[in-house]
Amino acid sequence: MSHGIWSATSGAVAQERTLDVVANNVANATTTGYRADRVAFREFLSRAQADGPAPEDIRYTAVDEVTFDETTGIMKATGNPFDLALEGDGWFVVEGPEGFRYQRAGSFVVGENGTLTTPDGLPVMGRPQDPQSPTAVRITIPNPSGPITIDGDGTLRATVVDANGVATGGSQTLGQLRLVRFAEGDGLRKEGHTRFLADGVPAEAYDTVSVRQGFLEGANVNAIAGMHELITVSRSFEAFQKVIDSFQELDQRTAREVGSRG
Amino acid sequence: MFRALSTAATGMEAQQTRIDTTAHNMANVNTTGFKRARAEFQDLLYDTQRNPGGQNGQGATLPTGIQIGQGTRLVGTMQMHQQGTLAQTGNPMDVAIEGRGFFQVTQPNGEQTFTRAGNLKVDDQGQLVTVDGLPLEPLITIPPDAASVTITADGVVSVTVAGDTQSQEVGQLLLATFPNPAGLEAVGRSQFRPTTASGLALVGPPGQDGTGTLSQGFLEGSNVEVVNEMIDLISSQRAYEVNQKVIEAADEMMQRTTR
Repeated sequence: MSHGIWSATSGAVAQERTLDVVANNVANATTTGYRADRVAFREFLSRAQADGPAPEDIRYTAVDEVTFDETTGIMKATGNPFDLALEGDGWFVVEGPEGFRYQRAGSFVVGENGTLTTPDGLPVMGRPQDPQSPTAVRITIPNPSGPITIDGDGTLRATVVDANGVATGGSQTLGQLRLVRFAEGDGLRKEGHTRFLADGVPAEAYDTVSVRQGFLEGANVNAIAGMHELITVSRSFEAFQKVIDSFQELDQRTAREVGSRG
Repeated sequence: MFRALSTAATGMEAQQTRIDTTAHNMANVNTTGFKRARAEFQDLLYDTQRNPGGQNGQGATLPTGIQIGQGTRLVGTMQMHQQGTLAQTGNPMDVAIEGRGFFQVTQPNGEQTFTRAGNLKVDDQGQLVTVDGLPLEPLITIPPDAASVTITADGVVSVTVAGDTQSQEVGQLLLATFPNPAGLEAVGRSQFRPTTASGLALVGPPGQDGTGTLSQGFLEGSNVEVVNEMIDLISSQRAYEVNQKVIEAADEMMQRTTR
């Protein structure tokens, strides 16, 4: 039996995995704050073979890592006061049931009791007293409230109104959004729902990022690149299949011809 | 095999929803006071095959992991409350709001709803009503002998009676604003209903605190931009196609394997 058939099979399996990743990217082409995934392969040497008396050079490939593309998506103006986009290196923080989660998607709504939340109801976090051991600080929009403006550093201001909703003049600070950034090795990974989780406590990012009110950041998926990847995957898979077919043919011929001389 | 098939299916579904939203926006391009909607998506949960920060066979810490996603889902549709374009009609009963405010309307069941459509009418009892005959709150009655009606930018309604040179004030229009207009529920007929997400209505006279001012003789058209909708339509269509191609590719690969 030719060993090469296993190399070709591992290649075909790796292409199948890549297709899964490409499929997820294009399915999320219109998801706010989505980060496209990239696949990296690695070559593995067969250890069992290496231990033998005459090591054969059989190599396998496998998906080694899936990383996400960190480039910024396209900014789209929406005009909604709670649509926020981040410019620069930084993340919003939300309070999930299992701890803090991080996201670039800034499509927020005012939920129950005036709490600023994600569309699926997780509270958006404000700037904590101690950034080293952050506590959950929620942002509450008073009710009634005048128009709300959000500054570049995430400070929310509302026009002050009395109980009858008449403006009394002046504005009131409602809080400041918690904006963080990550260093290499923080283990930032996807959780789904455009949220990310991380192992470490991220640093404050007020000097590297600014908030733009009335804008949303689209997915950083490039449809053309997606199509290109798709074609590459299909053709590579086809090529691996051809290689597998050739090996099969070779083995068949060996069995037939060598067998007939025996 | 081939998670890609179901992943691409979620993508096609998402694009269908986007096209549905675009179709509704386009259908209402000439609807007075219409606010366009937008569909909002999130990615689905990830299949984590190896966590970043795990260790490899040699005991080294891996900087990245293997996480494979499973598609997208609709998380909500939102109303986009940007100002629509103002069109001059010359009709004294057409009133456009320039700003964030809404007219407050009383439904037959007593419920308060809100609208931006200012194509007002006078009903058989002389009351100011919407085009559907729903009275505005506060109630304003125009006397039957009124020759002309004037509505000022700050909402004061006054009439001039035939044969009289002096105009008399008959009421004050009020406007409502919301902390989060995107959270309003569209109930059809250009009406919106407050929700916990929108916050409570804050009612005040026009021209104060961002409620906006009134323009008599103008109507606010929809805020649907045909060009933007066309771009959305094209991008949805293309994204749909790419997802379809993924299904084709997966199918082709599967066929090849089983052959």
